[in-house]
Amino acid sequence: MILRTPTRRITRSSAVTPSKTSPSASKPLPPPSVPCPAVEPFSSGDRDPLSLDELISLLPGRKPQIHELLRLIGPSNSPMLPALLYGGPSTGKTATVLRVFQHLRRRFVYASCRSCYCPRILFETVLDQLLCHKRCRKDGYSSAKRCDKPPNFVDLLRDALIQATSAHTGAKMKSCSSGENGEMIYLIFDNVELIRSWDKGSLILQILFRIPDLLKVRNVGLIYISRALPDAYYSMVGSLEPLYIYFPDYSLDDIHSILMRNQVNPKLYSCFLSVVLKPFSRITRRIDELAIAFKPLFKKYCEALTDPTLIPDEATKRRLFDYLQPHLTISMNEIFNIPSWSSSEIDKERSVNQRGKLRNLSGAVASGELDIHMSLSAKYLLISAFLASRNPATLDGALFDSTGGSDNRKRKRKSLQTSIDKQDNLAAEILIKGPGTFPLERLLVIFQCITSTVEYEAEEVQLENGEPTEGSHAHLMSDVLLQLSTLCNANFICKSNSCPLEGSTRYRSMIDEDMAFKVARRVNFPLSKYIYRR
Amino acid sequence: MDTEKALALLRSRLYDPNYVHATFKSSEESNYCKLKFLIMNSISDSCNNSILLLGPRGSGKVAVVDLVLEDLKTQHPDSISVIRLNGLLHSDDNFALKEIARQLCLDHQLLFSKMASSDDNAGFMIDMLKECGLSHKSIIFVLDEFDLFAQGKQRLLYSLLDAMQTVSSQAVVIGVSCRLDADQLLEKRVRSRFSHRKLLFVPPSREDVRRLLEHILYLPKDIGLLSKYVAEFNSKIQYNLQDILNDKKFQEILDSILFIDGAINNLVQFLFRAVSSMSLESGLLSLENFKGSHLCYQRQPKTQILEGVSILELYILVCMNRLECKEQNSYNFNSVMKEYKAIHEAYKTSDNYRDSVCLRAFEHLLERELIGFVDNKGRNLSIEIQPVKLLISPHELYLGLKSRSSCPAILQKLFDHESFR
Repeated sequence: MILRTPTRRITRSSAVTPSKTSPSASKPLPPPSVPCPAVEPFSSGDRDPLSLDELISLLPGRKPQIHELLRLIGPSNSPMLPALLYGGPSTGKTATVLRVFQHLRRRFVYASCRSCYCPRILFETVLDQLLCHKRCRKDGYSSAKRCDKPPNFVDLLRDALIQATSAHTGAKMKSCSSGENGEMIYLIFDNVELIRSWDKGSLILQILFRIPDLLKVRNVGLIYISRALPDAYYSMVGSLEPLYIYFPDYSLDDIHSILMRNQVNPKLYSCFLSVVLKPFSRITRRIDELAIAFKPLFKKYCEALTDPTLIPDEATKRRLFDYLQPHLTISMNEIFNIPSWSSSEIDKERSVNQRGKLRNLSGAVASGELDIHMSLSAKYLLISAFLASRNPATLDGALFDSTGGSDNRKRKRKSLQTSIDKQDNLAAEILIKGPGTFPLERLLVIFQCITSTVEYEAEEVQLENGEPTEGSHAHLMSDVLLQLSTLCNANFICKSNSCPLEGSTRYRSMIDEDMAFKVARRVNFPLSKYIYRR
Repeated sequence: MDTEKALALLRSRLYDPNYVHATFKSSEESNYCKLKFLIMNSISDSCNNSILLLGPRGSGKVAVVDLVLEDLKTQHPDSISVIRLNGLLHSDDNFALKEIARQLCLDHQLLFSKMASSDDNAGFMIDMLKECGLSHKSIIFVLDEFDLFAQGKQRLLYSLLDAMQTVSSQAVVIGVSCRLDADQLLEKRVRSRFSHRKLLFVPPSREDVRRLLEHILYLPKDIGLLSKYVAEFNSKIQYNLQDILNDKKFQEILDSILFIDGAINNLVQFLFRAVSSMSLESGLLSLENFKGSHLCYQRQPKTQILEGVSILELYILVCMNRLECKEQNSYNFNSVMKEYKAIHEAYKTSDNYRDSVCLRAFEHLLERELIGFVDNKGRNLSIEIQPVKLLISPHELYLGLKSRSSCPAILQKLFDHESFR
């Protein structure tokens, strides 16, 4: 969910580390050799306080979940049983938890298993926050304690919690800060479903879910946030289940109210939403994807209006709808496209080439053109790989004879019923099994056959210009293996496991037919003549 | 304020397993008494002993051990030293020995060196056992998750039990496990040194449950609240609670919860939820609180998810269901797309989208774990080619389709036609 406040945007890191230093200076500042302030990562009372009504209005559609969470957390200084919040992606789980803690003004430690992608980083992040240690350059960005095994983590966590509690009670006695904080420290673990795919993930999950029992410390409360269902966490030896809170997906009305926030012209936007929301929600109900799809559409919608602050009446609404209609169908068949930053020359060239073609709204090239830049030899290599994966090896001799071309007239097939069936079976097999593998030698042979014809023509052209070029042959053949490894890294070609009988590695092309044709069109290569099919 | 204090008190009681299980301290045949008797005997007779506590998760085994040890510490403060190990953390022998040495040092105010090797630690442990035996001090080892210690070579168990037999030591080993066959996991040599005493923790009976509820939920008279309020509050709550506890509906709810999982911990979670939803204005528990808490136990996660899934994703699920009905053993995204296009040609629906859009919907379904890959070894194939399978049953899909008001009729028709001929 896109969270916007009128004043400033709250990201997760700033939710934990407030921008101003704590007024209740419980710890002395370190000597300012490098400007890193001793900031208490716990939520102290210096962020904007949030009342309950504000909290509910900031998170539309989440009122029951907020109340449930507040009830489970309970009054200050009261222990809580661990809680697991689960729901689909983009349903506002993390936002709700962080806002609730902003409202309650209690101390918490937040660690997401997405940014802390291995146990060591997770443990050290939690300990750093508890010990109020900020990584800075003078230590080489190291953490307070080094910890990568779970037993060490449990011991260090216990010590850190005791230290944090005693520091806090000491601070309270020195200065009378707002007594809202209380003694409880809450540990929030986000994205715990990712732990399952870690090495020894199940052990770490069990330990994480049993932290209160292992620690035997009274004043720690645990909250887990997960995208996966609770069923994913049942382990074979039984588990102590946390209390569950379900975050259902947003209904259409909720999506409407979320998207309506912070709009310059609410009435206009609400007309727009009434047009686009229903059709788009048939495709996806995730609010982040909808917001991204609506942005360019809304720009287009407003183009027809002379005055963007106008409140539309019925006639205007119909006019705008008619204007938007053709673009809707195109936009619904698009998925999120990142427009690439291209230089002005390429833009000019593109606009010249595509004056007639209908372009989609994000300004990217219409489908039918390749929008990735590749070197010439890489393109040929890709085409060769596609052909090698697609055609059976026995056809190579016929297709790539010494003239470098194939003559389709010789291979006109009679359309017998059996051969049609065979074609269907082959097509079905390709659907199921996917592209075939080929060894490196076959790829290079095909590559050489294809490029030899090209150079033939290229050399003729160049000789006409009167400049004999010897390097043209070298141009396309040089660094083929380097190109191949680049293509493998970009996942256009992938390496399969080596066959135990032959011992050489085999490759497989990963691009689909559309892309192969786009590439071939770019280099004017007659790909359809070479494909074994129908 | 008073209601808040009362709420905080109830919550802290429910949070503390020792308090909860102290209900059964007074009864004579309880596991608490048996364990206490055993340990007292081994202390007074200066002998070694070992025992296993077995029972399902949440039955209070560790709580009973804690209660016994607490009592013994107050009675014989100097003749007991407790070492606690947990199988999740310390199943590796080196870690275990280090932890044992650390706790021994802590108990006897010795300096602990982190650099000591595991041989040093093992030697230290045996020396300490000897010394404590000579000075008539018992060392009690509590091994939580005992079955995890029994994995691998069981070196720690063997060395511990062996030391107990050979050296003049006074030690008691208490193993706690949720696997009822934990002693079958032991090797022959370890099992021969282990006494076959077992304490089984069974789910509580109805009277025990009633006693538990009264023990937890009744407020005491002396917690520093206003005395007039306390009297009124207490009598009201007692009267109120009596009503609730005798109510037939409440009994039904309780029965259904204990039917699913009879362990006390499950009951405690149910009570915690109910107590935390106590209304602060009236300060009284009502049957509604318990009913609300009971609803949370009746969730159906997968059907819940189907209400939030988009229509295109429902199409994909129904196509996959059709493929499974046609008994295609393995199918992938491309075959699902073929089916999808066939449906649209046949019925001319308006939901015909391009492959890339459908692939994104497919990926959403993968993320939600409604469908999954058949083998997870991460083969080098793209998503479109890898074989997939449905992770929800046709019945759940049917319920999900039925419960959605905005579901297109065509999906229902396709579904019905296939499964319920």
